[in-house]
Amino acid sequence: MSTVVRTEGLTKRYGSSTVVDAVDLEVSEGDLFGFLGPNGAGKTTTIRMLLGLVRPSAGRAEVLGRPVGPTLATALADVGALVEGPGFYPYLSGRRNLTLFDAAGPGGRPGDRRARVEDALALVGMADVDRRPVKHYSLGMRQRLGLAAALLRRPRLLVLDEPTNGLDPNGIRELRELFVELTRSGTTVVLSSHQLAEVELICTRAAVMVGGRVVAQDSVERLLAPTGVVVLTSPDLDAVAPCLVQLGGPRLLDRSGDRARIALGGLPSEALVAALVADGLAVRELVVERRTLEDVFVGLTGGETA
Amino acid sequence: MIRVELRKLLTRPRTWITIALLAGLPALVGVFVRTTGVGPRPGRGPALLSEVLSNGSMFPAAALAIVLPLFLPIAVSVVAGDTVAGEAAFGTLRYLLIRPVPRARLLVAKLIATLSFVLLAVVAVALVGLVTGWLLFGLRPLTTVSGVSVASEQLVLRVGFTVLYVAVSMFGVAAIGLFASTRTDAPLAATLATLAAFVASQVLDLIDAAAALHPYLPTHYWLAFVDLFREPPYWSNVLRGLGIQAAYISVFLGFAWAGFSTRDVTA
Repeated sequence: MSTVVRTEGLTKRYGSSTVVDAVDLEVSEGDLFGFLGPNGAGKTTTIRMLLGLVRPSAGRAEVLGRPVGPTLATALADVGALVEGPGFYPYLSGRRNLTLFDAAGPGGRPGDRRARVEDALALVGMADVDRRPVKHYSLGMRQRLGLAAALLRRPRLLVLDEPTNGLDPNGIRELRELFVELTRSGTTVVLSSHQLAEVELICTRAAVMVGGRVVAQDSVERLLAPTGVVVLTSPDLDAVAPCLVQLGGPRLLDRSGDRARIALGGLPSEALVAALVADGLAVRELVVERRTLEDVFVGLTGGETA
Repeated sequence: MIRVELRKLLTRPRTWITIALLAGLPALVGVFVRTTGVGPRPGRGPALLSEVLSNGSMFPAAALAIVLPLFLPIAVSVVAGDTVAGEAAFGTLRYLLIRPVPRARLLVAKLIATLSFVLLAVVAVALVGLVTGWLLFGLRPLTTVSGVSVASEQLVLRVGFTVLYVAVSMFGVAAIGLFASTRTDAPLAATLATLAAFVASQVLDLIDAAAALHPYLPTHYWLAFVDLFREPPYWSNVLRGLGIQAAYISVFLGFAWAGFSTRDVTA
């Protein structure tokens, strides 16, 4: 698997303030990469540097194996992006806008332009959009059209900054399915989002950015590793505590009704179940507690809002 | 990209409304002059307008002289100021650059579109002027400002050169506007900056104390094309005007390119 995005020590300073501080990112081909962080963490500036819009103060960025920068636009031929909301000529229809964007850059036969535009519209569920100008579109429609513009050239890498802004729950779900579908067909997707649940549901890898630095970057599975706590539901909870004492390792953390949280203390959860059953205690349910991305996020960002 | 920019320019209603207004004003002036028979007294009012009363074939040049001092530079400032800053304001600049359109090509395409607008506007004014002159005053062989008549092919040549000269003068404004447009994300700010430069030049040109500066002001030789309607045509100021415009155009396009090629695009 080749590396699709790589940054080394990527830094952006404005005057004396460092907005992006020595960021090393690595996104592999086929990743659905979640890019998280509170407002003002430097995510958008990082993305702008990846797309050659902003010049890094230090460090370098590579996309699809080629360096990017304000004077190095060619690396972006196979990249589609949605940055800080879509942008369109408000007095033209959605189709006219996509046609202009398609014609503005390199690649693709002019004869296939109409087909490319229709395909992109169909992908975002706007195949039957009418001819009214974009200025009369709803926020959600603009967002979809922006995504269609990013998909126009069937890019190998999609960089999407808050793509589900302004969409209703159904729209969000449709896009989520679209992203998974795109990744399956070989597109690499970098998704910056405030919707932690969304990232948790679909992303394979994620990076968390706080105060201009990347504080965590790993597979989502590892970020959400089990916490070593299980939640036990049992009608015989009163008898559980003595049993735990006998086992040595596990500790009862707290309890409410017939439900208790137990720290395993290194004991495998199946061993705990076996011991409880051997003591003649009924185990109705035992769930391995996992952190949510929100827990990870709050832990890493010190409670700054997403 | 160049074709895309031209298409954007030509499909935008604003382009045609502006040109209609530009060409309409001289026609309106023509109607008033014709119905009242009152031309401006010599040395006052728009250049060449008093000649029109006796000969409609002077009207294209007179029409350009009517829109040149204010109306035309404003229109050019609006279009040139909108080029890059307008894309930034729509949020389309970043998508064009990501598409990717190299920054140099974007700038060249914007320049060509703006120059096309200038040519379109100037030619439209001249053509409407010709039709107006013909309908209202009738076309006669040219009697020059100097009182000698010249052949009609001479007249066509001189009017043609006037159109080019006015266009080049406006290219100077367009270059300043394009430069301003690369420095801001607000098209209005770029337009106003361009107009400010234009007004500053006009004001300095009126002040005798600044006489040493006059030959270098972008607006100083704008009306020098009137000299082409003397007999024999007087070329010296026209050539100086072309030289000044060439200098302003290259300096401001150079600035625009230098600033825009590495600038952070945050809009």
